[in-house]
Amino acid sequence: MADIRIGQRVAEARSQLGLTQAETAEKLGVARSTLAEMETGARKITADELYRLTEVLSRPLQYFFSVQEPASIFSFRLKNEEIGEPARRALIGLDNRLAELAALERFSGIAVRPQLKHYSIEGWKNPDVAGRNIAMMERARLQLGPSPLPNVREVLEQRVGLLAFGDYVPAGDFSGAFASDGERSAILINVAHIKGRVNFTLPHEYGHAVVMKNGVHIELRGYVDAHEERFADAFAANFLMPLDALEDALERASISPPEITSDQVLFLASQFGVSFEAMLNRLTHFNVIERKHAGELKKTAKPLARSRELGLPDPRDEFDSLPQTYRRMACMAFHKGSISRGRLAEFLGTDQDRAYDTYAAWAASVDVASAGDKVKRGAAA
Amino acid sequence: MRLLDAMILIYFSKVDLLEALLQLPDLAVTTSVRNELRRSSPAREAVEAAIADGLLALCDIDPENGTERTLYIMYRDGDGFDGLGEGEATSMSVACARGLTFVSHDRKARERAASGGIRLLDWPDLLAELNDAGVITARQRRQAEQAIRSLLRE
Repeated sequence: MADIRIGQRVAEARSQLGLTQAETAEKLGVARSTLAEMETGARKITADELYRLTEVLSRPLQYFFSVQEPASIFSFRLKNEEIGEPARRALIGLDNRLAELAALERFSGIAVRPQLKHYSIEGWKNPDVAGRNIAMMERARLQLGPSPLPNVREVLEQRVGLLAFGDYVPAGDFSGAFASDGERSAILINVAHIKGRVNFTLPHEYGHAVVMKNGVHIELRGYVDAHEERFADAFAANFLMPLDALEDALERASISPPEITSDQVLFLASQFGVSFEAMLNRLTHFNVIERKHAGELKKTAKPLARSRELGLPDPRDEFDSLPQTYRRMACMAFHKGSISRGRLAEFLGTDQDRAYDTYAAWAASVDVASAGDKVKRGAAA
Repeated sequence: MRLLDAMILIYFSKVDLLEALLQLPDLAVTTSVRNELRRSSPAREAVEAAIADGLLALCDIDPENGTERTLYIMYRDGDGFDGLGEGEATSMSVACARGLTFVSHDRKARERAASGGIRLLDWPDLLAELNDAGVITARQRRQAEQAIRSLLRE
């Protein structure tokens, strides 16, 4: 009789990923009955099989060896008829990231606890109004003033302590997720999308974060609560592009609607860190430009090519898969001697030489003695 | 049996002594170390060939062995302990449970291994062994020592 606990972990991991025994067995290269025996402990699992299971089930080795029940944000099965497998793997990856974050907190001595204020939207009949008002309250709470937020990721990281991880999920409806295990919370962003869209997804997920407590919200077309989605869209639009900030920007740039040009829309989009389409929608929403004119601009503009010609930041710039705070925590843990270079490389998702270079650059750029406090302050100021 | 950490193989590869190293007997890696090398390393092809030719053995944690599993969790993430990489933690768990030797240069991993009573070697020991076995000359050994120290920024 084999150790039943590993089999149980295999069954749990398979279920959380939404794979059937037959699908998993096929990926593993064994018969379904063999996998069933592994899961019940009737058959031993070899080292080779276990390493393959780590890949097939997207879980690290320690998940299967852990004596304690591995902490997971997924108390439910990710249903494969609703969410494609690449997105399900990305969500399991987010779960793994939260577990790594917990370990990193211990090694670095820096705890990252998002300072989230929770609002209820139950009393609001109109989710657009709720989104606008709560976004305004959040902007005020975070003392953001009327300025555009071209780097909303940094704002969420530095002012809220909410970290955003990136993962590549090829073509599909999945754009991101928000997850909280009660202590730690994080946003997952699909980096397959262009940066302007990613910058909108971030506050959209933040919108979900301020109206939910623990659990997981998955951003997927057709897998949503329409009321809450409208709220989160309105929240994101108003958080990123509040009317007063937009009016200021129009005035500063001496733009006189309604004769606004596509270049001017591009310029505004770049200033606010959103896509051309998002800015166009916003300007239309505020009646700055007429719907008909917006439609014409949408048809004729070539935002990507024109952005390059105008020397504006490329909206396809890569979204770093790891948050800066997370990188700094890993460097701090290594600096304190709490982790080996091999573990540093794993946290940073690179090889040991590059990991050391990242650490050396960090150590050279900060007053290491006070860096821990800075990371703490930055993460949850 | 000597369980090699990934960086040992990488640095021997960088000073063009990986083929020489693989002539020594009783060398092994865990699959975690192999995977680390596969991801991005100049030693990748040579290591894969050595495994295929039987010059480098694969020696892994037995998932059914509770001691090896517990050691792994302890080395990796044990509360009150430092955190080691997966390659280091798997190698040390196997070395500790089976009385094998762990070859690493990582300060943190070596401290943990020493406190756990694991037999330890470092890259200079392997260079010495190569020299003693007549695989490399004394001059080659000195040059390699210098080159590796420079790579390690020591």
